[in-house]
Amino acid sequence: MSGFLTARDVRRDFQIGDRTLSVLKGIDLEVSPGEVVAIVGPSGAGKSTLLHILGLLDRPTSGVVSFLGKPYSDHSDAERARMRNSVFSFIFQFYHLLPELTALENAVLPKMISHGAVEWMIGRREARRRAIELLERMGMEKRLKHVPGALSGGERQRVAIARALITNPDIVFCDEPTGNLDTVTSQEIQDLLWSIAEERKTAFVMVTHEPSLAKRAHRVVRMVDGLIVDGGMTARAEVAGGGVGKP
Amino acid sequence: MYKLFLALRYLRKRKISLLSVLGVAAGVMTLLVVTSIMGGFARDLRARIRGMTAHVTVLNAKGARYRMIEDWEKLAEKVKSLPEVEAVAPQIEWPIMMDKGPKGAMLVGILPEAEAAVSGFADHLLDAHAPDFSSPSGKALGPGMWPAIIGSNVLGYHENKDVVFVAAGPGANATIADIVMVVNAKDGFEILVEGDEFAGKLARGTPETKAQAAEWIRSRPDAAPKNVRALLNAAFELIAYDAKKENRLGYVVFVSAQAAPGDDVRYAWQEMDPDQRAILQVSALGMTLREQGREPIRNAWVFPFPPGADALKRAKRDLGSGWVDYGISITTITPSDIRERSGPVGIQPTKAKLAIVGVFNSGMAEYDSQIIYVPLEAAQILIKECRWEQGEPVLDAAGHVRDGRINKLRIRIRDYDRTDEFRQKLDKLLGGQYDITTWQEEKSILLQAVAVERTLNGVILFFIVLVAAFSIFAILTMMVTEKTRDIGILRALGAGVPGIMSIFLAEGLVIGIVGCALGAGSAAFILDNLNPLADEVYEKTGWYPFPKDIYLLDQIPHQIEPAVWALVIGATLFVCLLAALFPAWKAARLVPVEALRYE
Ligand SMILES: Nc1ncnc2c1ncn2[C@@H]1O[C@H](COP(=O)(O)OP(=O)(O)OP(=O)(O)O)[C@@H](O)[C@H]1O
Ligand SMILES: [Mg+2]
Repeated sequence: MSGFLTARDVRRDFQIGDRTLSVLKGIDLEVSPGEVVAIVGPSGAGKSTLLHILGLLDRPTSGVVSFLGKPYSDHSDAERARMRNSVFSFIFQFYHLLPELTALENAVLPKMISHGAVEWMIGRREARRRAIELLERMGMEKRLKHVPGALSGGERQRVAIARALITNPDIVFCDEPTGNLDTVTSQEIQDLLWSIAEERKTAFVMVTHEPSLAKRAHRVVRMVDGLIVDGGMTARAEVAGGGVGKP
Repeated sequence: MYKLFLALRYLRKRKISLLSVLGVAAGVMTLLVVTSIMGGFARDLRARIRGMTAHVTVLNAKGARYRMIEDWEKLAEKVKSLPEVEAVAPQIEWPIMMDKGPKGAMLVGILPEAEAAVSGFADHLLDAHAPDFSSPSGKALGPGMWPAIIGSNVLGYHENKDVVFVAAGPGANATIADIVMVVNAKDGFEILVEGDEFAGKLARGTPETKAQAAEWIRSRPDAAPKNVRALLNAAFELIAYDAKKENRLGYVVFVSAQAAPGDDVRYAWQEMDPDQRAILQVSALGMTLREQGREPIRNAWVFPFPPGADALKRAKRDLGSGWVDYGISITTITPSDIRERSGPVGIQPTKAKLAIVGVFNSGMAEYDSQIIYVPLEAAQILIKECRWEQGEPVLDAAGHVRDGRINKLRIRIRDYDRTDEFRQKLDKLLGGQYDITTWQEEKSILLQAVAVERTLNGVILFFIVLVAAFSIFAILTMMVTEKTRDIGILRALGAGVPGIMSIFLAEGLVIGIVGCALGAGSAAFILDNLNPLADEVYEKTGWYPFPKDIYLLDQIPHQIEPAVWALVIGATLFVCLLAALFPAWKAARLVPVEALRYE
């Protein structure tokens, strides 16, 4: 099994009391480098759950997810943490910034996490420079010292985007990045994400309810009730004979 | 890196963590102050026991309590042959009864110079006179009288509750011109005015305050107006207590020649020359001048007297000569009487008179209320432990006794902590014929009690630290709950389980470190200023934190032992870390997705 990011027959059950709730019922998905994939589907379809499993925040009940041909289950906890830090990034609907830190500090946080004390002494300046650059790119140059509580929703999401990009990740997972914003701001953030995706050739996997955002994606994956009903494989994968998502 | 950064940031944003810091600081401070004071006390106590007791003592022949050591000079030579020995001194120790009382005491015959070489004997003498049993007044002793140096409590200091302190002689450099004295607890108190100017004025009454005292003095027909005015205007007071400090007996009013009229009493006291003040304090509190860490004051104008109402009267009478010869009668039964249980009329008590030529105060109540030092030969004659013929001691040409015996050979060795080793060696040398004791044994129970109390105090006070640790636990547990979502975020950003744990451990540790630093700092400050602070408390509240007469020290002692401090700080940090352990573990256990879902 090769490929950039691959999910094979991924299932996720939740145990609620003595009942088992199957949320993902056998997902097959592939993402190519630099590809922007939109995941759409009704609420409760399991989109967020899938994203968490792909992004190493959760483990599947069964099935295999692999990155660059290497299944996640081979990774140790420390290795998984390292991958979350440097290979993947997350952008959440509710921004999820740390309230005690300023915009700038939030944006450099992933760098801080990956650096030891000594490394940080050396790399601090560079990390800050990069974070400022990113924040400026988002039009946040006047908000560097603001704490999240003093920022608007759109501004918070910009900080979250800067934070997601500071490590130069290979894949950015976005869970309804504009879900909490008004139409105008939502549009701005969408434009921003797009231009970044184009610029950097970073793969994006974004869950969204916005048709406008989904329309711009290279590929749209449709999920219903724990299954992918459309668009699970890349064209290449389909040609190679992988079945399209199960009916 | 983010761990410490976030830990500090979280703490800074939470004022409540200051509470834990202060709790830890308070605990560490109290622990350090108390253990350091108790350490100092134990050290001083040991030093004092050593001061009065010889390092090692050879007693009478094994098992024979009333058999004296014969030919002690030879024994002394033998002991001196050991390289560890620095000095030896003979001693004869024998119980007596004082006729007044009646009360028991211990007669101790010494060679003053030899004794001074093995123990702190000379350091504890209250007066400046050489400890040679000579009368400073130069008066010859009456027939059958022996000179004696007595413990400051021998004459029933406690029983009478009389406090007798100080009288100023007409010394040339006297700045305290005249002295007023106090005191009798039972029926009001007595003020004696002594000195050149006010000589002989004596009055009785129970004034409560200085103002009342003044009124009362003014009402005395025998007080010359001029003198009284001088007394009132230039006076300052000192509160006199009985020996146990339980009852306030009255005021000692000192009149200073330097004090200008109208001076406020306390101001005058504060403004005094520290040496003068020290002397007055020493006098008022019945302490030795040497405990003040000063050289003995020669030609001093402050004479301490043996306490007691009688002594006071004598002091009054003898003030002109600058000294008191005060006699006590004693009765004893000699060792030979006991040994032989003989004589046609049974045991005959021996009687003698002693003239007090000096007073010592060792600070050890047991010694101060018991010991009466006399010259060795005097003791040998008194209890008939020398050659004796026809009811008389046999003296040689120079007037010394012959074949004098002793019952203690006191030895000072080079290293007082290695007494056990030395004892074995000595025992071998002496062929196992004598009982040998060491200074540690002399008061081993007391020393043990102090050590046990110190440990106990430490354990009890550590509870303050534990309470503070509990607050750390509570605050961090709260913080983990509150920060659940943030922990999820950190995990999503790539923080590992150990990283999350260390954030919270670091918080506990930071609280501990800051608390320890604050606590140790303030403890060091308090210990450094212990006595001024205690005085301050006393002046403000009238309560003395360290009752001097209980501890019999004029200064609160302390000893900073690095090992003890390290132990306290180490244990505190450990407990803080322990308190953070559970919250940290709880934080680390959070599943990232669930933490992120947490609202
Ligand atoms: N920890 C959990 N325990 C139990 N059930 C869960 C858990 N996490 C998710 N679910 C359930 O799984 C289903 C899918 O949830 P998920 O959040 O993936 O949906 P979604 O497609 O992202 O929906 P939305 O568009 O509303 O965000 C839901 O029915 C949810 O109740
Ligand atoms: Mg969702």
